[in-house]
Amino acid sequence: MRSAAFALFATVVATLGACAGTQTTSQHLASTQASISAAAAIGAAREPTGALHLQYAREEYAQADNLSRDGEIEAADRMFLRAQSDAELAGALARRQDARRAADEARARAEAAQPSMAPAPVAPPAPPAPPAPPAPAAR
Amino acid sequence: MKLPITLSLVGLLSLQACATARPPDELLQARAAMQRAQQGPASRYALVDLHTAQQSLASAEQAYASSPRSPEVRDLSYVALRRAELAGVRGETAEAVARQSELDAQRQQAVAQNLVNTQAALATARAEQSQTREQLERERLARADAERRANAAMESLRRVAAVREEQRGTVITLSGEVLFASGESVLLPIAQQRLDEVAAALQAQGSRHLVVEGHTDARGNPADNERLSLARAHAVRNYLVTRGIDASTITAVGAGASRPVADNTTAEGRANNRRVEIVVSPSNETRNATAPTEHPPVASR
Repeated sequence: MRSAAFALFATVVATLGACAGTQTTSQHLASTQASISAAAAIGAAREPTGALHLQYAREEYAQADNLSRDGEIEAADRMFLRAQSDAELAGALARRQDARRAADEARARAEAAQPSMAPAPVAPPAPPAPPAPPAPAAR
Repeated sequence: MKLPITLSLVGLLSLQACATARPPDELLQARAAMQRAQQGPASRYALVDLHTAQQSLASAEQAYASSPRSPEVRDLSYVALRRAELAGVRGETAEAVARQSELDAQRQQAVAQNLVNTQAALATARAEQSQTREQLERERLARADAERRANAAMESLRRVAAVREEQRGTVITLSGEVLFASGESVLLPIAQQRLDEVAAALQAQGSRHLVVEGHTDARGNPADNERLSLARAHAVRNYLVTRGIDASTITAVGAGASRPVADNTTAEGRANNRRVEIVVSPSNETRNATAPTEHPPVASR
């Protein structure tokens, strides 16, 4: 009787532990999916480097999902983090492109309104560092 | 037997040294990216993102210190790299937004200044237009007044002399009987009164060129007649100058009997031919008057 009760207790503890791990992974999955959707929604794909990071994010997301299904919870969580960081970077690159374009337009408007204003030299945008390709899944 | 073991140990230690000497590429890239971000606009505009990236890099470094070869190091380094890049990009974005705001403010300032300049230019133009209009009105009034005075003077003149319009100008004819005694070139007192009125009328006409022509009848020697007519013309010219007419605008001419206006066979016709005509040029042009010729009157008519 005691051994049966102990076995039941151990099963419950193990189940709760598994549930806790699954919940964390689900949260990562949801937040990563939201980041990827947000990046796509603001047009990350129209900016070349942003499109690349968005692609990385999707691939990493799929990889994380597979790891999660395989029970590699820690590796899956880290892969979700990678996917999320790539998605956020993709969205930020699109916003930077928009902001630079808006600044260029504002400069043109300012120069048109004040023809005597000498146009300040426009520093060419620094070439973005080539994104590191996603490393193979770390298990 | 001992030598292979020693070599194996040395080899293992070297491999271990190599393994610990070089961090994974992701960690190296993350460190470089963090340095770039710290030196860029993120240090001013994206401090929160920069802090998050620093925390991520610290986690990666910690993982590397505790377990250099673990897959966790590569993943955490990768995330740190992306967050450092994210901080850099967000810093540049915020910098562009700030620049846009600055340019918009400059534009608004320029537009406001242009508006002020335009309003000032408009006010100046309106003031100039008003001044021009007032000037034109003054000139119009002055012209009307001058015309009125000239007409009045001419009406006054018509009472003392015959006035007619010809192609050469306005011709004022004064009878020789009224101006001079027979054969003389000295003005009679009554002539001076007439010439005073003529002078007033001519002054009212403004600056115009005048030709004073002396004429005689056909009796006597033509050369004498010409000298007498010139002397009389000079007498009239000189008197007009004393009454304020500019000497440079008056020319004296002696026509003798060459240009009769009536029949010289009758007494009445000859009386009409003995005359002095003052021709007022139609324009405002003035010419230098010829100096009066010092010919003493010789003929007596």
